[in-house]
Amino acid sequence: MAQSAVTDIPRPRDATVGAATDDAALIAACRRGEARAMETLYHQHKRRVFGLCHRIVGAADAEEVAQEVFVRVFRGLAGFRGDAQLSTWVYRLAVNCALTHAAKHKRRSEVSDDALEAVPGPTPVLRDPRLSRRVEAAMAELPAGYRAILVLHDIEGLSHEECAAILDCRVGTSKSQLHKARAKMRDLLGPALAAERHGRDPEVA
Amino acid sequence: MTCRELTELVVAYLDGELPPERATECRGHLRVCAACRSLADQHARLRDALVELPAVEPPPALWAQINARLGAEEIAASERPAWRRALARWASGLRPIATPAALALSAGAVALGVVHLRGSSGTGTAALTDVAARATPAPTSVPVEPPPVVVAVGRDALDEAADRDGAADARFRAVTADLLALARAEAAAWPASRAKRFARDVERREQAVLAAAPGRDRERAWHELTSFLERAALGEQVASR
Repeated sequence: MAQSAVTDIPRPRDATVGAATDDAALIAACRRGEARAMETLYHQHKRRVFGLCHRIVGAADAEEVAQEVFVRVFRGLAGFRGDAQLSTWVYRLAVNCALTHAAKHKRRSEVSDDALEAVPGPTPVLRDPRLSRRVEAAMAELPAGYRAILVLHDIEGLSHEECAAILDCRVGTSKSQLHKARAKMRDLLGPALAAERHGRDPEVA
Repeated sequence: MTCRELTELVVAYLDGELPPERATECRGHLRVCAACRSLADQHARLRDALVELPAVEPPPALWAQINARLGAEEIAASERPAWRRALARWASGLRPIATPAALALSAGAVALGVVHLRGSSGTGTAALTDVAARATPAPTSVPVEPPPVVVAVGRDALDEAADRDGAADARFRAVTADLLALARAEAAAWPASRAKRFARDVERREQAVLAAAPGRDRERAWHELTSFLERAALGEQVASR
């Protein structure tokens, strides 16, 4: 189906979005197909959704999966009953899409140093910038489920309560998954972490 | 505290997730155990490294790509044959019928057996008995005699039953209108004799709906009518392509 979609089509008048700070109004406007509301919802969640996808499926496929997530978000809004927070629901979709993708493609492509160098971000505060690359590489070795909890809790800074809501599990499960993920990471990174502590060059390890 | 315990708790300890007394025990052990101190150091480094990983920014073109996909889906939806669009609406319109309330209604009627209340007028007997059945879950061993509470069913309960039946009717009416419009559009291309037969069949089923008592009988009649219209729309679709 080689249809080229005209992007600038007439849409329902943006009636409420100006004041739509709360989720309910935003959701209602998106359901009506209001362009500004949809874009607002996208911008509210793009960073976390893309970050989740990027860390779980890898740089190469992140864009494709993030697209899929938002298409599903807008397609699914009609059936969204509001028994979870909008953000929780969006991130749950993102985690599910990413984990499904990861399961299909088994191992994510190795994180290349070039790709990481190109990532714009806050000024690195790490004492050892090489460590962050090692951490990325170690994460690529983890089972996808462990990556998900590391991204949600450690990188995105969500509480275990929020993680549990997104992963649809108990708070205790979220905690024990995080413990296992970090223990596995430490096993993988052992020498690098130890070398840093003794002030030696990690390259030697 | 043992090293083994500390190994289990170290992540929660570093994240500040432990109750104060547990955290104090961890600190006490770390003061005296160099091996665990080294382990905790590594975990702390790891946690800091994870927290400080550079943020990834979504590419600026992402929204345009999403928009393009949404647009393509809308075009596809608009090009779906009319009968498929109507069936999709039909299916979503029918789903609320099978709510717990509706299931309880029919289950209640079955549990009580057939209860005749010929004296009651207005809203219809089936709905009345159903409401009674719901008010008193009847023991399955004595199905024949309706419990006396039936008489005490108040005006509110009757209204409620009438509202429910009314809502069900409205939903079916909307669905039928959709399907009928479609089926008629298809029927315009049919031979006159077939179109006439179709119109007669539809009318017979409409009469059946009007004649049926509110509640399960009417619901059955509605289903008869809607599934007939559905078959008509589908059958024509298959035959014409």
